[in-house]
Amino acid sequence: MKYINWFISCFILLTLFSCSGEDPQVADDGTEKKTLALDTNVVFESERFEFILPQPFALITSFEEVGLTYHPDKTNPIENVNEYTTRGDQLINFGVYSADLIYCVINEQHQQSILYFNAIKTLAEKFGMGAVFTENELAIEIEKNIANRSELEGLLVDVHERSQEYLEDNQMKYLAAIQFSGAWVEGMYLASTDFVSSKTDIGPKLIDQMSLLKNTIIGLQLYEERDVEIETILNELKAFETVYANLDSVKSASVNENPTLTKQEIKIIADKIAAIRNLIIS
Amino acid sequence: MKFILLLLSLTVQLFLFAQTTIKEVTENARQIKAEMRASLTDEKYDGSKITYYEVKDFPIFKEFEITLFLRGNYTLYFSGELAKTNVGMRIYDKAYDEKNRILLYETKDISSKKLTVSTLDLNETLKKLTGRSDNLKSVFVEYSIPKGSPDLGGIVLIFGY
Repeated sequence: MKYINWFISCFILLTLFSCSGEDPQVADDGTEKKTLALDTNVVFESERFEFILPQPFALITSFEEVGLTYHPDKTNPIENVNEYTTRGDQLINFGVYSADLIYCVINEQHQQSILYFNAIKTLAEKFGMGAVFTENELAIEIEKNIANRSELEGLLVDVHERSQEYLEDNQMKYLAAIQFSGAWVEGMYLASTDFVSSKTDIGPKLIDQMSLLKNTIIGLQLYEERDVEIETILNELKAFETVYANLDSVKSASVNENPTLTKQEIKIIADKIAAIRNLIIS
Repeated sequence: MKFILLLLSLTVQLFLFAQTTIKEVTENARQIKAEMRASLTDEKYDGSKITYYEVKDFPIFKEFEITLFLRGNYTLYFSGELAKTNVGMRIYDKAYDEKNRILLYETKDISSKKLTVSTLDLNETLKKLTGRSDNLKSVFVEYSIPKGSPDLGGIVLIFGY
């Protein structure tokens, strides 16, 4: 009888757990949930990082119309790939190399594109996401279409999607935010340091991109295992947010109005982002 | 002893059943997403968001943000095929915890339906309601899930440009 009672208790407990607990794939993927009870008894149940991370391709190509000139010395050197030994460094530089890959692709640097693609693959293998590239021969398809921008764009979207699904399936969705922060900083670096030779005013594009900084910071904050390097990058991004908010043109712009950045302000942004980018890649 | 084994087997089966259901929802959602992506003919695919939910004995809502400025204009394709309850969908210009947010689009029930929303139309609505001339940099999509008996569901969104 004692055993029967014990099993009945276990049964009830397990039943309750399987019915009311958050499913690991559905909700409990490592992110902390933000729950807010409202007066209407409706409960807000989104996760703290419910932001659709833009594709690296969209991030980089958004700068194309202002004239993103190719400088081979501006990308993160390929040989650095073996220097990234911590998981945080590997994840954030995966994002950096993703941005560099797109930069090479849109500038038709096919040989460099292959090298940067291989750098991404190497890092993915290091942090356990190598399967994304081996399934369905995705890597072979990418190498085959490295000179075909249109095809390649679709294939790189596949890489992004599969990476997201892989991280979701393994309760690591929040790690995607680390990759994104690397891609965002690299895109800002490639564009902002090019502002002198830019054909048109790069200011409006930088302002648009700055709206992504808030989510970049939130994403990094959610990575609880961040080491000293990632912590430093996070603090620098927060400081950058403050610097930007205190620019005269930003302060004087009304709520629904975009500020008009001066050349000097663009230089401040470019210098700050270059310093953060150097922290990431070094 | 037979009774104990029966209980144990029942417990294991129930546990496995719950896991399978969740797996099914995920697989079905990804299948729907792939079909939606394949159906894009005149537009390029730029991303997706599958929102999973659990029906509870109280109403819940879920919200997420989409960045719009990177591509100029997006078309948002929603599928409520995996939503069995009366799930509402709203699109706002700001997050739920910000003041004076503006409702740009609303449907009372997206369950079992497919919906298309253009960000051109959302920008027009914003202009009409506020007189603002700038375009939306991002939008916030909110799903409201009514209370009901325990169930799982999902809504698939893909966006093209």
